[in-house]
Amino acid sequence: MTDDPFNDELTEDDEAHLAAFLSDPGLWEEPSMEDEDAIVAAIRAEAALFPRPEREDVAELPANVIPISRARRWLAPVAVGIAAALVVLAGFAFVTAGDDDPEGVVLALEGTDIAPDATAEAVVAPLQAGTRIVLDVSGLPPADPGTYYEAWMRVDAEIGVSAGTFHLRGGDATIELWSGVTPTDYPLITVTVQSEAQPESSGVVVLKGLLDPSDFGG
Amino acid sequence: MDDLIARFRAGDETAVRAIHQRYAGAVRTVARSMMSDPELVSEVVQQTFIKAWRAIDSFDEGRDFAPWLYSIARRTAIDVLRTEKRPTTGDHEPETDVAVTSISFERTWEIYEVRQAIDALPGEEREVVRLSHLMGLTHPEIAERLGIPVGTVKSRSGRANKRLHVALQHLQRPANQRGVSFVQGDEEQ
Repeated sequence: MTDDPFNDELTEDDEAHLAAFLSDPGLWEEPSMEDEDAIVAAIRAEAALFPRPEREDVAELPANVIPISRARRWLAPVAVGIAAALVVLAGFAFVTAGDDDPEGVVLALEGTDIAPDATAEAVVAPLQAGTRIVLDVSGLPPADPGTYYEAWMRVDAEIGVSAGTFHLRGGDATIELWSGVTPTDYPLITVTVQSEAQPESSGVVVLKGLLDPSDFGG
Repeated sequence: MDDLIARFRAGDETAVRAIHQRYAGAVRTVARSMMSDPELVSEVVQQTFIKAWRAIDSFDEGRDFAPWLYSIARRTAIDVLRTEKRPTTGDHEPETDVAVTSISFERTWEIYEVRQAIDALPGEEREVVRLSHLMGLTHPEIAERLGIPVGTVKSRSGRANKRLHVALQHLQRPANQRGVSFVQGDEEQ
């Protein structure tokens, strides 16, 4: 190409260089409608579940938050799972033990599309050392080799703190979990399937429940 | 564009699709230049747009959207490749036929820009360029394939070359460095 943008002539070298690009099949691959649908589904589900604040209200994220990581091949199932969670969210049965129950607040978690038979009851108790969650899980299959389950306390889809991991390879179980954040600030409880090769949140949610911060004085 | 970005930020489906349709080709081409597995390419494309949506509040609307998205795409592709090169317990084979750092930022940016320039061509000109360069057809063969006069093929080809020339003007090397390439041969080792 020449320096003069109004000069229509290409030098032979530049023409050859451009031709090398243009003969690469990768340059001509068409975008995938499946990709587009998966992107739309994932964004729609996340936007509906966690509406964005007005731009002027956006605050900086706390330093200790863990963003949901790459959804990898689970992207489509995640979108479906989140969408399913939207459907069941309205039907969550919150069972509050009340202020006089020393065990804490009881929350029913429901399985997403990924684990429709799974249910769990979480007893959430803010204590001096952090928040204790006693999770009684049923109907969730044992984690496959190379994978495990991880519980999270979250603000929304992007901001969350781990509460611990488990595998259920011994069958249904009661699991004691701890997290260093409060249920008032992190009221969303989720359980994800994790790969041992990927320590960040996979975003693949199998159980989900939402606490009422007012139960904790929030 | 500002309105489109605002609607994209809000998760408006039409805006998400519009952004995808405008930039997916370029993002895909960058991913494709760095990896061969179609599933990984799709993964990069999907993650790029979802990450862009999540991070849209960090985008300065006074700037061009394309370079901002490009940086997300390239970083995402590198992350995907790095993960693929780790021992995996998943049900897929690691991607082993490409090097994570074998292609430079400038090189992939050039690829991204060329793809954007191609996508900006009118359809009839784009098709002539595709048949000529990708399929290796001569002007008479293109004319026969498209059922149009050879002169029309030549004029479309000429107009396409001019548009590409103008669109890619900023990528060209200084005149005293010509004869090699724009940025060809500067791959990281």
